[in-house]
Amino acid sequence: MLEMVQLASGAKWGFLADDGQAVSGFCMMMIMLILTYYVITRARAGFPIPHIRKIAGLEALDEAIGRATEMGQPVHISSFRSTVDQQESWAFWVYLAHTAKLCAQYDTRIINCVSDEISLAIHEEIIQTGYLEAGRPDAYNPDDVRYMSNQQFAWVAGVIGMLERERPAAQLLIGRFFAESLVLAEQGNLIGAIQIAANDSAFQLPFFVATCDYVLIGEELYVGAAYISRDPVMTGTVVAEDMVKMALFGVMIVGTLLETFKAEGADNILRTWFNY
Amino acid sequence: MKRELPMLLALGAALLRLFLELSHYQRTEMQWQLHTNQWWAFLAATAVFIGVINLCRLHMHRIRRKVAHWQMSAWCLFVMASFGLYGILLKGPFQAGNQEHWFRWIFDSVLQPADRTMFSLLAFYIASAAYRSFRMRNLEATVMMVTAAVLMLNQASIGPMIWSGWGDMAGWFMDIINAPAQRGLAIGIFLGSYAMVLRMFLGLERKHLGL
Repeated sequence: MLEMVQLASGAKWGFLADDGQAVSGFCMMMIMLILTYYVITRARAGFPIPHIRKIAGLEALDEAIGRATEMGQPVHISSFRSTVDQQESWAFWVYLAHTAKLCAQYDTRIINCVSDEISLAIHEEIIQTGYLEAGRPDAYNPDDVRYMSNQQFAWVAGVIGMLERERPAAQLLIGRFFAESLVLAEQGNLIGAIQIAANDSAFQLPFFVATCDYVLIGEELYVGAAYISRDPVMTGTVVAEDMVKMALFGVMIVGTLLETFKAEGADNILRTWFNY
Repeated sequence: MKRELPMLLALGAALLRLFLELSHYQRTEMQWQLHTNQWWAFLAATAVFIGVINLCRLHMHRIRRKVAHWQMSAWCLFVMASFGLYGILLKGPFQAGNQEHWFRWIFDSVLQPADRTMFSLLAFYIASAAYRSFRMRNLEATVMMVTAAVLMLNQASIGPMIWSGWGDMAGWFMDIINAPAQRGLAIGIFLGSYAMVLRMFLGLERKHLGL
């Protein structure tokens, strides 16, 4: 503990790391924290806050589960890499809870394939809670939460085998995926399932766009959690995020103009500050 | 307390990590950070043990109830136990890096070829997905088809033999059209994940607690 109080040389503002962008990063974080607190306080006080626009993929969630119910077939929802240290997993759990509750209400089976033995218990707990909230705890089937493998392609082989045998009418691929994304989505397409994907990897999105009916692109994966809840306090965090985004785009335009019209050899004040 | 304690623990861990990432103390050798890293390794190992218990519980339940394909559950438990025991008995429970011939053979000559076989299936899936996507049914699909054709011709060896300008054209698509879109996406993803993490720190997001 004593070693912790040793001051490293070159600390910025007395406590920040001497890396480039440490101060600007800290300021951005504080701005976002203050904005979020402000918007949440407004929402709690009952003041109106901007609403989230309609997101087709999220609107289609109910439709997909409804279709599976009509056809009497299960719904499959999975995220390949759902380890507890990934933010995508935390986003996925919100969708899992929502889907489990809807499936319980509609009396439709929900199948979840897990690749992480540690997350297995979390997934079971979330789905069981969904059934409990829907007032049908007896309908929960632990056999439908399945650990396949933690090996990428062994997991995929297990999942596509399940898709072929049980033919779910809806497939929700939400969270972190790698090379297995296309195999899963194409197999879902072959069995005629309505497919909704949500992913924030620029490398996997083209595969999902080519094969799925609806795709939540990039940040929509994270926004979905607030969107589904319809809670103004949750929505407040998204409003704060959008305000920062608009401010950043403003900074980009100003920065581009400064860089374009600055005198030769002069510093771009924005570039200097953001690198500080 | 069942609700508050995990959230308080998460908040404490998040603030600690945030402090380490931002502060200049990250550059100093901190004894307590070394301790927390050791705790992390210990907890991760314990979590794997809990994971194995989870798996055993799930599959034993399936075997007891003789549900459909229960034999696969028995096989899963047998493979898990036998491979683990074989590895431990060969070199003892506290030795890492088992290089014993048959132990390696199971991994190198059974698991890896099976893994690569599955990976190779991607080529066929790409072909069928590309065929559907590149059919010129509307304006967007046509634009995509033309762009893809230019990029493929740039990569294929026959491309430069047809025309030398594919490289410049592909570069323009990648640098002027693709790169800004990717950067816009990256900004959105960063802010989106940040807002998500904030919701968890503030205790607004509780689905992971089964609440």
